[in-house]
Amino acid sequence: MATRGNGLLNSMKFFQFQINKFTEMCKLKRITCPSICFSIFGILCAFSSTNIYQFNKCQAAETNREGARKSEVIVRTIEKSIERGITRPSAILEYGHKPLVLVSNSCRTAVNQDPVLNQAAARMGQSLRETEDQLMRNLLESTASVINCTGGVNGDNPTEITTADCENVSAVLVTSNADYISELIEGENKFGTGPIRDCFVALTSSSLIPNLRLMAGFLHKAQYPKPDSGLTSEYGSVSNIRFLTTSAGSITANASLRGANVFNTFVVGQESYSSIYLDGETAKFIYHPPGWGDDPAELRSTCAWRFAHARVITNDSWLINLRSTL
Amino acid sequence: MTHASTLLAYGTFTSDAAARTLELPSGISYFEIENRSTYGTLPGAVVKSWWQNGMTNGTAFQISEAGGTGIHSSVLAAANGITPVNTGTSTIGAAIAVTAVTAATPAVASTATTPAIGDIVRVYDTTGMLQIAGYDFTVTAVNPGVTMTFGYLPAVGFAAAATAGFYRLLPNDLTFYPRKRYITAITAAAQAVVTFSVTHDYVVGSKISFRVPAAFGMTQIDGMTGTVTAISTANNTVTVDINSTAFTAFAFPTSAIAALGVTPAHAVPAGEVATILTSAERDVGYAGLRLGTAVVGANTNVMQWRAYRGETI
Repeated sequence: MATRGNGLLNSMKFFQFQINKFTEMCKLKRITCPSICFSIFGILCAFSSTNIYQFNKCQAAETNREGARKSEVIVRTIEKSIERGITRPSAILEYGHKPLVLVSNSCRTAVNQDPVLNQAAARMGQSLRETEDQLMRNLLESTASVINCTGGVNGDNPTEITTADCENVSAVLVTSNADYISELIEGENKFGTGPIRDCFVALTSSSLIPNLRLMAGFLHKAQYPKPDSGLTSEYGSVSNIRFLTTSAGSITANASLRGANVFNTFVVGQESYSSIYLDGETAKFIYHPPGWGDDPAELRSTCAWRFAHARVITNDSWLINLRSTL
Repeated sequence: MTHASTLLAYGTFTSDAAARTLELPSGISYFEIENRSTYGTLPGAVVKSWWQNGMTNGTAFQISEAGGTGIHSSVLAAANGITPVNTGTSTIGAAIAVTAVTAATPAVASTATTPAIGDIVRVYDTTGMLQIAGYDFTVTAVNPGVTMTFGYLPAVGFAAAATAGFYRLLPNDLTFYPRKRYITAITAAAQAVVTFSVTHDYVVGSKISFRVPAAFGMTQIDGMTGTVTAISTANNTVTVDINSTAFTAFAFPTSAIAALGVTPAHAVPAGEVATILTSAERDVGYAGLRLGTAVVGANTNVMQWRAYRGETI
């Protein structure tokens, strides 16, 4: 048991290592770190107080006399008491994964189960973080305002993504008083590189990579003055946008004028959306050794994950779903 | 290895004879449903249906109540049976041809394969009426095998009818509530009335923010946020506290302009004014089973069901 315990401990340390690693890599100002390296949507907003409020999307898009949107955020709250005297947002839902059953015969159990458990733990960790990503992606897909790309030449609506579309989205976000997420990366005297502007971040599907490369002025991450300043999932930059890609990006099937798949690229400003976790309910990894439950012969161990999580768009003027086709 | 099956959930409902979806824990491997109203009383009626993981989706095994012979009949429901659903993994339906869409209010689309009332369909490639291409619509009426009606699309102002096109059936709505919705009409009134293409889920007190590109005329409302003061379920509208009397009229762009590329007019949820919030942002995705008309019994029948999970051996 001691050996198994160490295996589990090592796995959890791996998660923590990834978090720390990402925190170091993440140069984004005023944003607390995304969950771990493969979570590009899960920007974390920690509410550590014992009073956690139920709240709705908070938004600011009321116009002033000049027609510009105000930037203040309206947070409407209500407390709901539950047991143990804390308040809890009803919108927080609990997610979990069907336990992964690890089967072994008694000999193998006696020898060493660590490799199997370590592998399973890594896979479960990936599953958990991907689930977080998918939830945030689904929220943005369901509720974010949209702009269709129109600068392309493929004859569809929306068209393929172009630099002009990116400039347009950047202008809309700046006009809405959205703050950039990353700061200027100054140019250096290195062949083939170029400076990177203050940027919003775009979260998009990796299927869009060929189109990204074709955009005028696009700089691949390798062409940054400091390539190591790019995030792991970052592909490159154009205009005031840095693109992070994921295989779990949002795609709306057959939604273009001609019936092609529409790729949703979420261009987000600082603090435009958040993930909210409950203290003590974040990413719980559950391991049961052989003999637990309905396993009289002690042949099966299980591991599973569980977390409670809520997502919120804090200001929908500060993020845009830029829709495009291939 | 064997593993005992587990009864995950059970319950009852009173049938309205229409297909319905039961939201259930994921991983259902066996499901059975019985008709309390006909069990032992109505010879020939289906009294029990069941489905097991591995069977063809949409089918079910059934038994019918014995007639005078005292022998139950075994039946295979080849369609409208039981189908597992999961909003996270479901896929859009196949392309179905549309032969016309009328420029009328409401718009009526001709198709040989009609969906069910209440279904959401995605319409595209609508020759001559490209302003609606790429839009989703809730189907509000059906003439089976002939037409479907988009009751929330006032197309009377369109220059021409569509002469061809396609639609696909959406397996489910967007999975987070409340959702953004495409706008099909906004009145110029002391309190603007907004119509959406798909059944909306806003409530009185919801704050919604408008995104209306110049191609739709009413640019003054673009970027404004209004509070919903009334809703009409029948018309799929919301009334908001925005005085649009002096605004430019809302109108769809022409088909030719739409072909060049425009962003749809739409509304996004922005918050809620209430002492107790009822429409907080939340995940409404689900897994479960779709029960077709072959297994839900007749109107007013009381159905009882049980869902099990077990491991495949």
